[in-house]
Amino acid sequence: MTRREFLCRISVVVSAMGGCLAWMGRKALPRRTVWANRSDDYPGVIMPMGDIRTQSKWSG
Amino acid sequence: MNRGQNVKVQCELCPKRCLIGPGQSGECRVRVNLDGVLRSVVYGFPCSMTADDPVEKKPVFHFLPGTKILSLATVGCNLHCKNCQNWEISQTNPEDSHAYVCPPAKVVALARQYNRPSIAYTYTEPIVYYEYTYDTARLAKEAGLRNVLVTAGYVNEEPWRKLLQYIDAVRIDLKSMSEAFYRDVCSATLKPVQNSIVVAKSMGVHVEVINLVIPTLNDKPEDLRSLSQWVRANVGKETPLHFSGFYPTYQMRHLPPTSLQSLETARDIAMSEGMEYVYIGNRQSEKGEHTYCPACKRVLIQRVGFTVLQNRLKDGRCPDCGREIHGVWK
Repeated sequence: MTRREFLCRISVVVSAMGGCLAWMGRKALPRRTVWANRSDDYPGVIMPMGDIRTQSKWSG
Repeated sequence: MNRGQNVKVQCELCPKRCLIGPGQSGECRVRVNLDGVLRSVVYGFPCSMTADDPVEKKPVFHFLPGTKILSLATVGCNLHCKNCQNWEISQTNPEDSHAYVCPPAKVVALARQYNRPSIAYTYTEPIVYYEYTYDTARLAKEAGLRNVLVTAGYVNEEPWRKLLQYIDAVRIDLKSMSEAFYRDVCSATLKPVQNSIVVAKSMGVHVEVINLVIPTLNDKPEDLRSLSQWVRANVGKETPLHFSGFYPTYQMRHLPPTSLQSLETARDIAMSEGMEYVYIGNRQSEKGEHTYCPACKRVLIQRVGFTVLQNRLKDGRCPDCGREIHGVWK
């Protein structure tokens, strides 16, 4: 094997390993986002809305 | 198998940047990783809604005084203040709570039905129901209504700026000037809050600042002085500043309520630092409830509790000396 062939093979192997590591890194990292999609269902109890013409008991 | 099932999600909405595992929620309890997608489980599901709150109850004193404001909240909060007055809804899980079905369009329709000029996102923390707040505020703005946020301001700058384009007024908590207070009492940090206040002001949003005065924790004269100095230097002396009285509650039942004298001292300190409009809340205090003209010192807006008895402003000015009074009056 000539020196040129050797270097060529090494560069292919190194780039493949680099690509693989990048892919694994991307998979390991969390998805980052600000926006949360809406969920169709409420996990708690849904109540009918009553009369809203009374002051709230909550502060603020 | 769904490829998203094992993916973690990092929520970039607030400085906590929660790393949320599959099926888990962030610290706020309402932003959940479902199949690798961040979802708001409270979008369109308020736990509290009323059309009868006066805007003064928020408290917001320099924004359409004497009007009622449609007010809503979902459960959840990204802070965990040991003194939270609304802890039953702010510190509960959605699955343990009751809610109504009220999508953004219905909120706007209710505001119009009850002839309310504005909508308040309040009681818990509108940042954690960010998408609901954002979509409702955008629709309300299109319908000619105003939007008021009642918030602790613990949010990252990019989403904050995006939301503020639809917000007319912000009543924001500045709980202390101490990082230790924010860390120990609220599980948060001070700097992002200060940044949120400055950003809101720079975007032309009407800002009112509130400080809950808690005996032994943030009521020393030097605490109150440094807070007043910071507000004056960074938001302006014309910013309405509210000192509110603490009541023993939640995880702080061992402390006494704030005395009226302590609140009046806070007000005196802020005014000696040049703040023009300083109010007292949660206690009856004649001098801390009215709006006075900073120039001629006459009473402009007379209040008792949340009720406006008299509003003497003429086109946003003092009728006696003509001084322009900072605020949104019509």
